[in-house]
This record gives sequence, C-alpha cells and structure tokens, in this order.
Amino acid sequence: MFDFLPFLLTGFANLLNPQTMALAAVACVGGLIIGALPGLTATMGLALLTTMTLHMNSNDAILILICTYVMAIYGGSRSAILLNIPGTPSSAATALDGYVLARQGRAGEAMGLATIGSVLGTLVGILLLAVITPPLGEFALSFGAFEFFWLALAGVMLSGNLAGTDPVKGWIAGILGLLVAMIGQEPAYGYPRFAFGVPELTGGIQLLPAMVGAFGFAEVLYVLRSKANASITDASDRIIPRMRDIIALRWTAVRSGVLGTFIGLLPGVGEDIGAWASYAVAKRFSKTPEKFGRGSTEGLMAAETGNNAAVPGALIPVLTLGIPGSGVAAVLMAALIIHGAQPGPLMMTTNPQMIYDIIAMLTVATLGILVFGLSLTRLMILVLKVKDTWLMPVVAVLCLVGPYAIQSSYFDIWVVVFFGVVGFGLRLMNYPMAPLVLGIVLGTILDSNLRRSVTLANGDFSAFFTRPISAFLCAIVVAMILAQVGPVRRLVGRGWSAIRGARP
Amino acid sequence: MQDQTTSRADLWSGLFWIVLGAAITVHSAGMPVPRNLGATTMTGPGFLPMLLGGALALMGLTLAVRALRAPRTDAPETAEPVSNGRAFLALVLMVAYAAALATRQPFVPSTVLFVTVFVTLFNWQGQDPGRRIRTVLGALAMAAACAFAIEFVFEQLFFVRLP
Repeated sequence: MFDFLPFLLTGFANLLNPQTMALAAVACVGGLIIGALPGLTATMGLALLTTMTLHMNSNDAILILICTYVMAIYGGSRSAILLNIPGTPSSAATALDGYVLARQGRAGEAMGLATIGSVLGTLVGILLLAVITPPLGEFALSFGAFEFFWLALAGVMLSGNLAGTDPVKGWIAGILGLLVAMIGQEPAYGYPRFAFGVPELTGGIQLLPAMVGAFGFAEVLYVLRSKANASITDASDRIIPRMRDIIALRWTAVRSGVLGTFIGLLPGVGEDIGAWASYAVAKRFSKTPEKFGRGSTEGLMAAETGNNAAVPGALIPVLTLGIPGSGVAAVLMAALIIHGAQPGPLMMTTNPQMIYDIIAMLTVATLGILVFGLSLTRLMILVLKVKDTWLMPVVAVLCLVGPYAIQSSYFDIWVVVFFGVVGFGLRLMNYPMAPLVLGIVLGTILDSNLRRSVTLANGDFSAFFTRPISAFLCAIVVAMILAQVGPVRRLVGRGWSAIRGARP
Repeated sequence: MQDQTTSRADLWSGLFWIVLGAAITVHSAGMPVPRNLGATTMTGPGFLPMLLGGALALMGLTLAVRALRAPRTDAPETAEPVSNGRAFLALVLMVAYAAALATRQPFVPSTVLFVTVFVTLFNWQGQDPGRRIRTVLGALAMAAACAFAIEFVFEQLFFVRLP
C-alpha cells in the first residue's frame, strides 16, 4: 500500500538543495511573468524555455518547465483581474468575475482568492495524479496496437471537437498536424514521404520548431495586430484572503478541482476548457447564480481552481499513455522525450521515480503560487505596464534563435517562419492550434500502430472493433463524427427531448 | 460584414483543403509499396497519408458546402480594434530577420538592428520629436542588452554557436 513512499521521499529529497530550490524560485517568478503578460502564453513560454533548457541537466530542466507551466497558468489570472485580458487563454473565465471585482475596488481580494483557488486546484490535481497514474499505467500495459491506433485518432478528434468553436475546423487542424508528422523517412521501410528530394525534409519536421512557430511567431503577429491599450486597475486593498471566505468556498474548490483534473485528463483538452466547465458547473450548483459575471467570488474561485487542476490532470495521460492532455502538456511531453524520459505505459515499470519526481516538482510549484502569488503584487503591476511593442521583438528573437540552437540547423529557422505564418493565417480564420500540435505529436503513434494492427490482424479486421477497449474508443470516434451530421443530430435531439418530455 | 467575410474565407479555405487533400491522396497513392520487404498496400508508406488526404478533402468539402448554404456563421465578434497593417509590418521585419540569421549574418549586429527598428517603427506615430529620439535610444540600449545577453546565455552556458 505504501510502497510509493520511498519514491515520493526521494523525489522531494532530490529537490531539497539550495541550488535546485533557487532554480525553482527563478522558474516560478518567470512563469508568473510569462502567464501574466498577455501575448506570452503558457504554451509559447514553455516551448521557448524547452529550447533554452535543452543543454541543462534533465531533472533541472524538467523542474524549470513544470514550475513555469503551473505558474503561467496561474499568472494568467493577474492580467485577467487587473486588465480584463486573459494573460494566457485559460484565464478567460477568470476575467468574467475577476475584472468586475477589481472595478469594485476589490482587486486585492480577487487576486488573493485566485491564488488560493489555484493552490487548491493544483493540490487536488496532484492528489488525483498520484492516485490515478499507477493503476491507469498498469491498465495501459494491456493496450495493444489496436488500442493505441484508436487512442491517437480519438485524441486528435476530441481535441479538434472541443478546442475551438467549430469541430470541422478543429479536425482540419488535427489532420494537418498528422500530415506534418508524415513528412520525412517513415520508420518501417525508410521511404522518404513528402520530401521531394530536399535532404532536410527527409529528416522530418522537428516538433519544437513547429510549435515555437505556431505558438510563438504566430502569437507575436497576433498580438501586434490588435491595438488595444488596456488600463490597469488600482489594487490597494488587502490581498491575503480571509480564512472564512476560503472556508465558505470549500465545496466550490473541491468540485472544480476534481472536474478540472478530469477534463485535463482528456487528450488535447486542457486548462481553458477546465476553467470554463468548472465555471459553468459552479454556476449551476450556486445558490446565487445571478451574481456570476457581476463579481461573484464563487465564479472566480471555480475558474481559477478549474484551470490549475487541469495541469496535473493533463500530465496523467502523458505519464501513462504517452498522449498529451493539453497543448501545453504536448510541449512538456516533447521536452520529456528530448531529456530521455520515455512517457508512456512503460514508464510505471521502467522509470517510476520520474512520476514521483514530477509530483514533487508540482508540489514545489504549488508552494511557488502561494509564496510569489501573495507577495509579488507590486512587481506584477509594474510588469503589466510593459508595452507589447517593446516586448514582442525580443520574443521574436527568442522564437528564431531557440529552435536553431537545438540542432544548430538553419533549416529549422525556416520551419519556425513557415509554421508561424501558416499558424497566424489559420488563427485569423478561427482554426484552433491545439489539435494541430496534438496531430504532430500523435502522427507517428497513429501511423506505426495502424501498420502494426493491420499486420497483426492478418486480413481479419474485426479486431479493430471487437476488443473491448478498441470498441469503446471506436464508439467515441463514430459518435463524434455522427454528431456533426445534421440529420443524425436532429434525430438524437428529438429523441432526447421526447425522453425529457416523458418525465414530469 | 464580419459574417460574410468569415463565410467567404471558409469557402475559399474549404476549396483549398479539397485541392490540397486531393493532391496529397494522389501523391500518396503513387508511393511505392516495398513488397519485397513484406509490405502490403495497407502497411505501405502511402496508405495513412492517402486516408488523411482524403479526410482533409472531405472536411474541406463540408466547410465549403456549409459556407455556401449558410451565409451566416457563428464567428465571434471582435470588439477590439485590429490592424492587419501592423501585423504585416511585423511579419516583414521578422521574416527579414529570419532570413538574415538563416543566411548566416552575424548574430549581434542583426539582432540589434532588428530590435531597434522594430521598436522604433511601432512607437513612431503620434510622438513628438523629443519622444522619438528617446524611443530610438531606449530601443538601441534594450536591443544591445538583449543581443549580448542571449549570445552570452547560448554560447557561454549552453555551448551553442550562434550564426
């Protein structure tokens, strides 16, 4: 029962030296700034930092990335409350009530509650991560090629379905990602697909330059396109929250934490949906739903708990299945692979220490939220006054230099530019970016497992649909497609209203 | 207005995906199947790209048909003022800088030039001459500091040679 304790203690012991703690503290402050600055999103920050920590010792690099990840998702609440601009997309729900509270002169209280919400959310998420990961990892060992094929397909489709406003566009983005993964020599027979005789394309498109392009380079263009000049709200009231306020919101926090974690767990559906879903559910359960959007502390708490709980949640499928739970987690997974940790079902058997190291790192990052979130109020207000036009050229330099530095490849600079321009164009037309990245990550898994399954099936393809887990995943995929077909949707809608109408 | 431009964009992008998807399908179908190594049509290199190309064309068709049939879309209204000119200016500067790096121009001078020009151009309009001079000098100082800092971090700490 307690055989995980030595691993967990080792995980914490590895972190408890002054140098590592200093590194964690710097990463936490950096993450807070990245999250708070609109225009520097968590995904972009993590992709850039991965390129910059590549040459560090792997445990330090992963610690930096995890602290940055957690703090960036939390840091988004700062600009959401003070500027009404989500600093990172997952804080959009926070702005609804946070900014209203700030306008009412309760900015300090709102920031304090957002901090406590994020801490509680991350803690619930960590607890569930620790409980769910070992059995899920064990369960995933029974997955074969058929299951991984469906899982990769369902992952990309689920992300396409939920990440944006339009599933068709989400799926197009996902398919484009999968096609990008097809470029280069394929692993089975070494045939260079879509290389057209270009030697650099034969090696395939590297994940990080593509991500830095789609999330960094494109983001710079997107930020400069808007001329919004937000004014910062005054925040002079007390920031340390009162105990009785927190106790009054305890059930909201626990509910949003659990919900956020499970939404994070879904492939490619992460922090932003976690926040929105928690917000919607909190509104439904609330005794005062009319206050939501008019400065409800409950709504603020739900959104902030939900998005931070999704962080450990999104790491669960990374550690057990090798499938990222969100766009940011996809970047973190790429970093884990580069640093030699192989995320996937074998991790629980080959490298269980890594899982507990990550739990320890997440705990340290939670401490970071509490300490820096409540203490660096003045500094953050200064940071938020930095102008986009001064910050963005520096980000652009890092976007181009970072990916180059991975392999000293001049070709990768063009990969960044290409994905930046395409990503910017797609964003303007409302195509979501998360499915694209998930497609690039899962393309190889989809391809190799499809071939393995076909070989194993040996002409009898019933195994794709009759193995229990395959059948379940296949049903999800079919349901997602049918839900987009007009007549089917109307039929289901009519049936549903008939059932509801039958009930009193 | 917004609605119509979105559905027109959907129509044209849908048509583009159909063409791209069809091209990918045709190209993938032509990929050789190494039967001497035991491959079949379904395990050959072209099979999955062919399916994906087909799926892309199908999705493009759905998008285009939907855009034709329903001129109204659920595009979110953008309330904040946007300027494509600013994005285009940034794009030109960034591509020029990328080209400089990719053609192995020295890192520090190109970076200083890029950052200074970038900041100056985006902070030029509506400023009096005194402010402009201060902007240029400030930008130059920040550009130099950032170029040397990045070079130091990459070359001295990570041992990566920058261009």
